[in-house]
Amino acid sequence: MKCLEFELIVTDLARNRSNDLPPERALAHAEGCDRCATRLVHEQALSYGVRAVMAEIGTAEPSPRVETALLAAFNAHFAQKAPSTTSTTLLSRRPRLSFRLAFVFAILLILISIPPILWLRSRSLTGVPEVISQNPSAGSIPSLSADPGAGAKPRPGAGTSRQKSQRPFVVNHPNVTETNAPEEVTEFLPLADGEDLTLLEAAQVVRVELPVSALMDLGLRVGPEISPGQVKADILVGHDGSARAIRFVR
Amino acid sequence: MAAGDEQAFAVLYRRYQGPIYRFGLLMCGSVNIAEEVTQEVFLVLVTSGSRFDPSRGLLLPYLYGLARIQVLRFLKRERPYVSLVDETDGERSSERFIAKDDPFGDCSRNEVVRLVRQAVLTLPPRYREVVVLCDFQEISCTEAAIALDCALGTVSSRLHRGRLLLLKKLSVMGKRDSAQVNAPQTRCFA
Repeated sequence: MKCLEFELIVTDLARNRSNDLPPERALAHAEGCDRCATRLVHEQALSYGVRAVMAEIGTAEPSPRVETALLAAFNAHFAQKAPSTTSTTLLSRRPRLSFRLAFVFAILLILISIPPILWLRSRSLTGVPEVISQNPSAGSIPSLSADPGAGAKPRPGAGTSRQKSQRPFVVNHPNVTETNAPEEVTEFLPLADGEDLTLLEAAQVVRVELPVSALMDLGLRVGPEISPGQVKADILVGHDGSARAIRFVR
Repeated sequence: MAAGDEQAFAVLYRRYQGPIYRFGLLMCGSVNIAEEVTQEVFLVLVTSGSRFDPSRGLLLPYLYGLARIQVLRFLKRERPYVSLVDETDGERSSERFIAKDDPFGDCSRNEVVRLVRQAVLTLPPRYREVVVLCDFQEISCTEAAIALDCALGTVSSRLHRGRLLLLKKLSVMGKRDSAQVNAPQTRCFA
């Protein structure tokens, strides 16, 4: 006999249960194998423990009050059930019916919502570029020149790797496709007097449309040649969230 | 019983209350929880006994299955609490102090019972339930598989693993207890 075979019957052997293999062979193996002998001793000890526990609690039963309570519950249940058997069967069916209805409704809802999702998806893939204002790379400030292509000039002293990571600043508008002519932009005008924009560590440019009256609130003079209405502008927002400069777009 | 025969229910309860109660007792180690489990199991049988399908197996494994659900619910609920009173022996605690024919034998057997029950309670529930059902309640692996609603192979492997874990825990606890007994007595100089 091998140890593996012994392992399979060791529990039965310890509990004196009949097995396919004769116990003499298993005992003979245990005599020659220390590991299996120890295993048999442990299993016998466990078997003794199990028997002792069952001898201790083998006749344990719940207190009679449990039976009394259960009998009362049993009587109450059937007393309640007896007068209206048909109504209870209907009540028990109702949740299933409502579950089915809810399931059908959910399927219908999914089927209805699929075409609009597909339509929106196809539109976003083929249509207009996303609305956004791009953040010029961290640590750089967009150029204050009027040339939109040369938006983000590296600061003097910035490293080569930084220069590589910087991309020309482009602002997309929801109504303007990339094939349109480049926009004309003015220089950034600081909103606080005497502020040096080159000292900004990081900034973000946000495209906005302002009413002309708002320009006066910002302290800018509005000439008579500017027609009333909305004005397109880029706001330079500092890392603290406050507007630092503005430039106008046409 | 389904027709509302109280006598039939009482007979059924008296036949099966013991195994269900002992299963709860071994699984939770608490007399109160074991009684609650027994009560819940038979209440479920009263209210939704029609769910029992005799073609799937006998009533006892079905009841064990219900008891197991209740026990797991209790274990989950009671996890944050620690019992201050050792209620494992419940009302029979006073009987421990009555010496019978062989006081030394009684003492050592009580110690073994205490150790084994403690070791069983420290097993993870998935091993504990199989060990309790197959080793303590002595139901077959097939019936245990019905009760636990899992495959026969799963029951066999869990039983094997559970027994090994139990042996390991018993040997550790035995060593710890003997170490406590053999620990040098500290002298009080007060």
